[in-house]
Amino acid sequence: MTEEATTDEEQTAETMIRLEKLSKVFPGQDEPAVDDLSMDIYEGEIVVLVGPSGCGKTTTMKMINRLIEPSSGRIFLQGEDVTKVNSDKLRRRIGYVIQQIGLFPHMTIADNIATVPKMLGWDKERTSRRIDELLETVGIDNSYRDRYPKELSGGQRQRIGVARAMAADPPVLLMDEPFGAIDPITRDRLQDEFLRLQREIKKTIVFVTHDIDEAVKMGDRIAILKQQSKIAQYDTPENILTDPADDFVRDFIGTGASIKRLSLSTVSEIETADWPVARLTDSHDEVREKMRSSSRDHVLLLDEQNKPGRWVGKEEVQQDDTPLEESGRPAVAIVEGTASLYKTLDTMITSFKGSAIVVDEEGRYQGVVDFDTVLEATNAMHSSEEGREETAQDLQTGDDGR
Amino acid sequence: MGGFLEYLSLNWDHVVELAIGHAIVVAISLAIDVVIGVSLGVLVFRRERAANVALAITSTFLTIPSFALFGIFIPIFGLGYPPTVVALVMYGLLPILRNTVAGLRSVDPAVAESAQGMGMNASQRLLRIELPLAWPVIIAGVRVSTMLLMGIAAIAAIVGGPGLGEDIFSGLARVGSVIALDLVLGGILGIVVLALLFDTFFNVLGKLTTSRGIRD
Amino acid sequence: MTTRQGASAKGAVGAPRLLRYLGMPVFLGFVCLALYLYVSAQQLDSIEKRILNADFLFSRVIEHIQLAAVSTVIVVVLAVATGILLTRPGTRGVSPVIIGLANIGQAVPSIGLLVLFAIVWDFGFWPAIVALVAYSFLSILRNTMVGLQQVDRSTIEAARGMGMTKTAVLFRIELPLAVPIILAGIRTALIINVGTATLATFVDAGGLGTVIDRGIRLGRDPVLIVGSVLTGVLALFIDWLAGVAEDILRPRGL
Repeated sequence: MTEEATTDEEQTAETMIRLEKLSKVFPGQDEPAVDDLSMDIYEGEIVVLVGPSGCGKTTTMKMINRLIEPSSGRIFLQGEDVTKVNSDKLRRRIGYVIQQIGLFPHMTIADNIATVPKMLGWDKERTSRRIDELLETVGIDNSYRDRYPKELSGGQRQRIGVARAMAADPPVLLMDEPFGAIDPITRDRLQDEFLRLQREIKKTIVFVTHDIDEAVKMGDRIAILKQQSKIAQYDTPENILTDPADDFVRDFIGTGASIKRLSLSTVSEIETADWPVARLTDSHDEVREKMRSSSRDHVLLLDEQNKPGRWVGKEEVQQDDTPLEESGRPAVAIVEGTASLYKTLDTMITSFKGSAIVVDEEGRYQGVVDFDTVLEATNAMHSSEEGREETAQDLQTGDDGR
Repeated sequence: MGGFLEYLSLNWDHVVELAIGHAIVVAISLAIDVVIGVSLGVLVFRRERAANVALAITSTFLTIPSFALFGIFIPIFGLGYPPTVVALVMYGLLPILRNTVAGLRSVDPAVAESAQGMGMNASQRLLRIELPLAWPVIIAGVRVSTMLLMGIAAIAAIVGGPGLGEDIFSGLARVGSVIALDLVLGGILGIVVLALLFDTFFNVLGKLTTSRGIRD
Repeated sequence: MTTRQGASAKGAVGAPRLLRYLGMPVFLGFVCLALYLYVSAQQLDSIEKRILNADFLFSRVIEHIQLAAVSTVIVVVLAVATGILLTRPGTRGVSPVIIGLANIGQAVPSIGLLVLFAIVWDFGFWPAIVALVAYSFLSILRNTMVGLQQVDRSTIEAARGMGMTKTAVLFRIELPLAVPIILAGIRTALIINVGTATLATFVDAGGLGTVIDRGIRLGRDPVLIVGSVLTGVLALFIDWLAGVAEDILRPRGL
């Protein structure tokens, strides 16, 4: 059953990719690998295909650029039926990134990136400018142009892989577990950077992964696929997490669905707690005054650039002879406003006072959140959902008998 | 030793002439081998059965004694260049074919897949990705063939073919005379020197034509 | 020289494997039959008759086999022994030198060595043997050394860690693991030497090359054809035998 999220935004967006009753039967196998799959992918969204091993998600994705030819069904790209067109030409319009990256080891980075532009006949100058652009976009220094893949780290190679896929500015990118072969720390960073990139370039992306957490983090919509790529649920991460369609989806999400949902909200969306702040340059009296006027027993001291410096407590601030720069403890539990609640909680658990300091991109102080404020926010989320569900139920009585 | 050097200085032109003839016939046979071997390798490397058949047949060529092969070609091709080149081509084929197949098969599947995923058609993939990556292995095969052909070409003299083998057989015919040993030594050393020259050439050529990105 | 490709059966021999084994001898049988029919159809003159008779040919075949067998035994013993000596920890640096020499050594013409030894020493069987050994020595040595070096380092380390002496490791680990390489080396040496022995006729050591040579010198095509084809058949047959032996003698588990 195909469920399409029907918010107003998406109804007016263009359908970039349409899959119509796609099936794939591999020779010598009784069961189809993909069975009668239909789905629409809108322009500018990231759709994640996720499911257990062997469910056919990679096969499905590879049918979009016809690396695997469908046994039946049709594929539409930007409204055009591309099921039978020349597949090599088709692929030059689609970016393709795989897990093992597959950079050409005998070519320089620049030549790797220039591959599709060259095939499309771009002139040297245009290609060179594009390479400069892309290197900057993916955060690789221009001095790497003439280096070879073997000189780069795994994370760097992955970025070049993405740059190469975007070189000819294709409207669609297909990514098959692109961050799978990388260590978790680099992967996290690359995912964040990729999301930031997507905010700028707004490409249509089909992303395959087996990791539900990655799907929740990266996807605008997620298609949870069962065996033979049958769609169990195709919706936004929010909706899937709050309202799983059946037991399969529930099992696949696994435990911790509520905590996963926290990764969908950012800390800037919640109210900050009421902690006193002062400056490292203030006098001890001024700091004591601040503390007294609040109900807290610790003050956060900021430096001249408004960046968090140190936490100073009641007893410590009494010692006039100890300069403030050496009193108390340094403030380390810091998150950016764009960080997810999930990450914020993670930081808070090991922090002093169970709190996290929120800063902007420059690192300047915005506010402090603690467990109380986070709990308030999640409670608010729950009640607003229940409200939504009730409204939805009211609207739907009589429909499927739900 | 002194006697040999004297011989050499007196007969330098002759030895060089034979050496050039030897080098040319080997070079021609190598060139044909590279064309046939690499083309055949490209055709069969993806098909295990076909590759096995091709490799088995070419290795049979190497099992048959060279003298017998030269001999059987006389009634068919006559004397001189034709039987020599045909026999040498048959002998030099296996190392090149085998290395072409091995080299092409050793290309990282992820690289091949991403090339296809980017829209390269089969011939673009072959020319821009697979062959360049297999090249170092192919060149190694060419070097092996060169050494083989250098030695075998000496037998060509029996069928009236060119090369330093002529001096070896002359020396054989003149056994007992002073010059016999010189002739034979001249032939052997000439071939060894030629072999070293060719090997160095291919070594350098290999390094120059292999991308820095895949040179170890 | 070259390492052999081709179907090699591991473990038990099943029916389809048996067929593959029989392929070559059956083919050779047909060739011999064709050859026989060809000769029978010819009107042979007296010279040809003296060469193309069973006795003469048979003697040449025996000579050929003797040359190949004796030289192979000697070269394998020498090359394996040297190979073992040169792959010890102390002598390891020599490997690249040997490999380099062996590569160039393939260019040394076998006929050159045969004639050289004939001039310097004498014509006949034993100088020819020396030449055959000299010609194939470097190749077999290189193959043996490469094979011994490929014995997994960690296996040796484990053995030493258990308290085996260096000699024990050599005889109980390295050599048994190197048996396949040695067998392949024997096979290669046989092929090379069968080929070189064809030229032994030029130094009065007999062999089937005699038939080919006479055919060329006398201008008699039938003789030439019989000589060439028989030599080829013998070489392929010995190779086939060696391949079967290699498969049978290879220790299980390798």
